[in-house]
Amino acid sequence: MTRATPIPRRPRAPASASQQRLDPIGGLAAWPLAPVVALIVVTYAIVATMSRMREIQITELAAASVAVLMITAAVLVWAARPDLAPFTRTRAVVIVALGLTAHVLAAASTWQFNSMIQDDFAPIGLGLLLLALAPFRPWKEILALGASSALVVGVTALAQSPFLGIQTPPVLFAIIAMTQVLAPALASAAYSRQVVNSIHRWQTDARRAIRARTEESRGALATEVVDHRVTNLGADVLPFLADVLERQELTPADIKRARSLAFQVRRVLVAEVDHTWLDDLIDRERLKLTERGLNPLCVIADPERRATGFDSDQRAAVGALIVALCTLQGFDPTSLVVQIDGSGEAPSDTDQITQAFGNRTARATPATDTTTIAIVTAAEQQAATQAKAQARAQAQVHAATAPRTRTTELSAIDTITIQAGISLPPFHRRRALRPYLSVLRAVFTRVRVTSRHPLLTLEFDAERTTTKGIN
Amino acid sequence: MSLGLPGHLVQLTLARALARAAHWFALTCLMAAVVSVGILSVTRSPELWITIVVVAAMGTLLILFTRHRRIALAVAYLIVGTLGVYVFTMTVLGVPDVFPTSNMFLVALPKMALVMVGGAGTTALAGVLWSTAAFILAESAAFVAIVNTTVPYRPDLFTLSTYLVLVGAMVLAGIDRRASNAAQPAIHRAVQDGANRQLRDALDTRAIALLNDTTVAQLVALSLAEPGALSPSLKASLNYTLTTLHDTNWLTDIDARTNTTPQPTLTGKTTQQAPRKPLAAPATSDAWLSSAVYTAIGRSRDRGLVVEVTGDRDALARLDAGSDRDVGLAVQQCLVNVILHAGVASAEVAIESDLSTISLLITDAGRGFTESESASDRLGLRQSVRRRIEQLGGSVLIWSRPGAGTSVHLTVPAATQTPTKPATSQSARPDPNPRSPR
Repeated sequence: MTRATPIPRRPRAPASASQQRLDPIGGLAAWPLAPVVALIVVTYAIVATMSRMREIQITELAAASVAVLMITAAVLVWAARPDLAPFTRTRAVVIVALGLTAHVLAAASTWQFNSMIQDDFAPIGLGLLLLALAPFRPWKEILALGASSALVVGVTALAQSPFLGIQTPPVLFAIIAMTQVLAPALASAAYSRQVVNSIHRWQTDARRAIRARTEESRGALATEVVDHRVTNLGADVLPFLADVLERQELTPADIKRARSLAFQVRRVLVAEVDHTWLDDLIDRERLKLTERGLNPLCVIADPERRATGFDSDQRAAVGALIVALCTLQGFDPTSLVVQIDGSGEAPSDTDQITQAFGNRTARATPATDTTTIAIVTAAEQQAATQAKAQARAQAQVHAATAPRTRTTELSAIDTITIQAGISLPPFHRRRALRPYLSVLRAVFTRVRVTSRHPLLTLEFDAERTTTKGIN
Repeated sequence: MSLGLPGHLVQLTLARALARAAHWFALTCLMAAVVSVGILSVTRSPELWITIVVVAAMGTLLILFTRHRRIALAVAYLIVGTLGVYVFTMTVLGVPDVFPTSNMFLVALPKMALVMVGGAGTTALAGVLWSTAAFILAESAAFVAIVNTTVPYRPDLFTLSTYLVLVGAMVLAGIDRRASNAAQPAIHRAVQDGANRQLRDALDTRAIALLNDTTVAQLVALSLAEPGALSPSLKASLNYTLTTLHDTNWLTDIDARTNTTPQPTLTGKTTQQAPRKPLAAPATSDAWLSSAVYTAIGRSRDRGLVVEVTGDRDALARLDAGSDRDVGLAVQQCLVNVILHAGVASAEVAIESDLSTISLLITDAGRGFTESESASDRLGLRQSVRRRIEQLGGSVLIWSRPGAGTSVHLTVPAATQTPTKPATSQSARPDPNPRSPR
């Protein structure tokens, strides 16, 4: 139990993690499990129903039971479809609820005439359905669904026990029926837990490696940035400043030149500040396409700089997709359009300057928004000290109340639209883009793919909760 | 979360997960068997106690095998399991007048548990072989046992289908059907690119802020100056700007405190500024004197601004080197704004701290921002103050009102306050005589 040197615990995977969420491309590979299980469940239900016709009292109920199980199987296949990912909790609950309905209907159809619990098809069917959830849902949820299903199955078995053909304690029937559900459910949960932990461990290590690699390049990057800046600047500004310092005096021409240089440099810097990672990415792709001898025309429309609100996973997913699109065979280099718009506030990375002209109110109004600067026109030097004290008091009041107002979550939705012309047969195109889309589905919501040959349009939403408070 | 498993880890990961699943399946079956025969032995035939023993033995070996994954344990599980299946089947079916045929789910339980041994195989082929061996052994043992009882033999479909499902799952997992082998590395590369870009952006942000602080501020100062000989303060700041820009290390984080504090080539009357006496002063005030905020204030004082400092200065010691440097630069930019725009000669810096944050309030009684100035100067507040502080995880509030000048409130996270050093409370009081323009 006690170790001499405690091994540092890795961070646990989030409780909502599933194989599909953590490793969308792996989830893609696991999807055929669902149709296979659906087929087995339906076939077994039909065969089992046919083989014990004499026990069935109400044929309609038996038929309904099989029908419901067929619907369940269809729902399972639908829910697991990669283009409808992610597999939500609602889907899992619906599947299990439908399976339980089929079980109850089947039990009712043979009421008082069931000779053996063990050849009921529904508990085994339920168990298989739970098994099929393994790649898609977190283990705790599978466990909970399995336990509740087992409970229902156990209770129905107890209810039927007085009429069964074998004379044993009734609890035994409940145990048999529950085992048929629980054994696959536990296996499913164990699989989910193990896979999620493995993936999470790998991700933690991989991220650490990426961080280390990035840190290694810090020096090189810093030099590069400095060189870039100083070269941009050096040509004019540095000699000018050195010259002024050397001469030890300032002429009116110097002053004029200083003003114009200040204006220029500031303009360049402002333009650079507005550059986002997306501009950067597209710039690079554009360069690569040019190197390939093409004449690219890539358009980014992100006037509110919403791209800055994306987290690193979302950036990686979009980046990988765009790179994949640009390198795809049959890609039309003049066709790429990336557009981001949406509802809600844009990321508060930039200042939003609200202008309050004049003295509309004599009373000092503190800025309603934390990122707002109230700009005033004229200066009134009188009562400056008093005003200063007031401002300070106000600032303090605001600072005291600000954290509370800041934590109110404002959710904003950014909609990203990527359009590209790809002259590739739809089947090949789908095949090439499927893994990227699966990753996209894991980090964005509502991924829509529409295509009107050769134009492919991808739309997806990023939900952002803007909590920028530091408390 | 997009960093999926790379190709070389897929097989191993899936094999492990299948092994876990198989073991839990087997354990559930064994538990159900123990409970069932337990109930039967209590209520009906006490001679069933022997089955409890064999199932418990199987369970123990299974757990041992799960823990240690040794081939010897797998073989032991197979042997004990085969014997167990024989004893279990014979004893359970031997109970008179209970079970009409041999294909009872209860009888199948230990067999299903035995078949699950295959899940532990590290490759699909090994798993299938283990499972098949277990299946054949279990069925043979059961057959021999059933022949020795009076119960008619019926094929056991439960064990057979469990075996088939397990083998199917192992084969499915064993075949690497990831046609999209190129996608996973591409995602990985994209994540690495993103990380690089983020670092680059951070460096660039800092570079732009620094350039704005030094170059643009310097040019603006020159453009506002009167023609004629350079004033000493202008000379000093020109010198500072040029040395900063020539210094290639202006982006490196390391040892920021010592990097930012020495003001290069201090001339004339500013020579006595920022005296570095590392060990002479007591630790608490040393923290304040060595902080970048102090340096920034000193620099503004050099340029003729009267800066009043109040509040808990020693709290600045809680900032790490990088934060300290950035906060210092942000404060400097605020004070530069006062010098350039406010039209007054004094400003106030108030330092406050609580358990997890430090805030600085820079107030002046100047004329505030006019519309045109702020449009052209938005870079100063935006880059040098806001972005810098936000990169530290802090926040910035800016006010400007008629006649009331400007207040800038910076809040940054800091190391949690340690409740030691009660002696510092004395120096935390507002300095009664702070206006020493040096």
